[in-house]
Amino acid sequence: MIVTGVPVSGGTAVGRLVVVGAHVPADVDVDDRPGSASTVEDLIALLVAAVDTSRAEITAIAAEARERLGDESAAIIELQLLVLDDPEWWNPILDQVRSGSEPSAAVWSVTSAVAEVLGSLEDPYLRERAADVLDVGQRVADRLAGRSRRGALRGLSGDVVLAAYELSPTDTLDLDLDVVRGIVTETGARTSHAAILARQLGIPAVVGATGLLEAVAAGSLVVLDGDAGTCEINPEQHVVDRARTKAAGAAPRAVIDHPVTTRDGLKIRVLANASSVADVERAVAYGADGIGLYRTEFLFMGSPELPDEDAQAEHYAAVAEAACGRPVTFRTLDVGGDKPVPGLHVEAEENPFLGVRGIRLTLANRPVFDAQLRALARTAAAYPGVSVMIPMVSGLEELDEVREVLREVAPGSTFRLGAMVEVPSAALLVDEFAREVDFLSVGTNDLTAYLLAADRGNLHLQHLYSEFHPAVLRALDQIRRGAADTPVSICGELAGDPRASGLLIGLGYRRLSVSGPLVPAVKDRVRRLDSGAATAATDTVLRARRHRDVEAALQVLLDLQA
Amino acid sequence: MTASQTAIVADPLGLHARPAADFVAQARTYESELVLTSGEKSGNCKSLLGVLKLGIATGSEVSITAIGPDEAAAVEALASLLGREPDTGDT
Repeated sequence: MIVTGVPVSGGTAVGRLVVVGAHVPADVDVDDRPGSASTVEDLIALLVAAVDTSRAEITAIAAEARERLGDESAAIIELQLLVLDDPEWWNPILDQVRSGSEPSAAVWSVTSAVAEVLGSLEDPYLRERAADVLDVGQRVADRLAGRSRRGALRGLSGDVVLAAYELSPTDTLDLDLDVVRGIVTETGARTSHAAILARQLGIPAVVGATGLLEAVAAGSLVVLDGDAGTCEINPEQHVVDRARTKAAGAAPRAVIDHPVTTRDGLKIRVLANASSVADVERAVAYGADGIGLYRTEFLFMGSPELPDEDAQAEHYAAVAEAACGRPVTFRTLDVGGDKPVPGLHVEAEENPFLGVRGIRLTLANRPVFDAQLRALARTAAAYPGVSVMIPMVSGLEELDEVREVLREVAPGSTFRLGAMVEVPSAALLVDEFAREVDFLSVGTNDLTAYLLAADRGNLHLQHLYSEFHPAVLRALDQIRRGAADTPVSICGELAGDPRASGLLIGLGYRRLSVSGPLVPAVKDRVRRLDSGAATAATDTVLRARRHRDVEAALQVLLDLQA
Repeated sequence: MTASQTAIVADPLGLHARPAADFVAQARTYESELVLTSGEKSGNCKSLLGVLKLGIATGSEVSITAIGPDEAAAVEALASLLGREPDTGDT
């Protein structure tokens, strides 16, 4: 039989149907909980702690979404932070707890009431926001109950089509893409945030498939058509065969598990960016030649208090271990007023992007920086491939200061020390930096924003923000030349852009650090490329005076790697 | 004292999640109490849920009312964030 719904994310999927639970009110028996709180104040403290943990989790998920999928996806998740801080959500919850409700019951009753109001609006887009509110409420209720949903959708194997009454945005981001081939839900619309995320993740999805869960038994073989909006249950063999062929056509490229060279024999290292041990494991599975950027801030944002030296050393060792002997470059804590870290007070600033962030923040919070450097030195002593790089460096003085701190707190540290080139002053002084560090890494996202004075999240500046702006490309050229013999890598989004592989190699870059899942595609493009032809074509791109001239010149480079 | 200003919502999608989030973030930078009114419904400008539940479509006329130390600046900034001033007849 065939169940029909709304097609929201194209593609074909064949798999075993796995049914996952819908939102259910958190069912907590207060008396069963060890050390159960009794007074209203205790209950409120529990509630506040659950909200704080949820905030840290959502912040980390949003940052991860930004890395994997870009700003639009991150904004979808960040919306949930506004709900946590919303007086119309929080105040009635507090009132209910004060008048004797159990916290998770209060969270659930207020969340459901708010979702119901939104769900009854005329505007179909606004109606879908009910799902976002439910996602937040569920997370807080789970936290109160000491449950974590993170990973609840893991542990599946084989090819799976996931069926649910409803799938939340954060659950969608948490799907194991090596297993989940398609999604079908009873509720939802094209404008559901879960649907938008499914499209960005490239998972075929059908929503609004009313009657689905009654019609199917878990374990049935299904063919999901994300273009037609159908889910066929136990189809005939020829339908399955045809769908399998179709699905395989869109399968990702084969993993290449060794460093690749261009057609003319130039070795290019394709590294991965990572924020967790799981990312590192995935990067290795995708054939990355190492970790070019390990963001340590997620370790800080994900825990309710600052991780001490031992906790950090343990985490960094797990990262190095997961890299299986491949080199790992750790970036020291890179946060500012816009990225709160529990336990670290950062004053609110007019303009956090020009404020106390990156190395400025860590030098001003020496106990935090000292503990991190000590932990990294311990890791480097045990794992020879460890490097450390400093974010947001704007002048040589900051490097001097870092060295002084190192001499003081971790004398004899063995890691290679590098600097990020993302502030324009560092780009202009790159030759000076190159003499003083073991390596450099260009963060193209921030460099572009600072060069063009344009925030890439600002919808009104979309026409200005471009990593292909002539000024950015010329800066990348000057950085490469100024670095001379000091190794320099690219670790921004540009490195993974299909239009940029030939360009960056043409500019002389030999190390590209990209999001893990992009590694196979970048390696594949490198192997098709002739570096001589890329250099010649890059010269044309560099002569472009206007953004549109860059686009035209890029096409030549694209044809080279076709 | 109170300050009040009307505006016509210019975003083609109305006051949807992303523009509403920007609106709320901006509202929270002011000390004044801020109320957004659309038709017969009103909501707290500093609450995303309060703004979303008004279900404001593009072209709706809304008004922002403020009471507090920075009321004039607040209504001015928030009204201009939402969009154009109501048509007064001349072009």
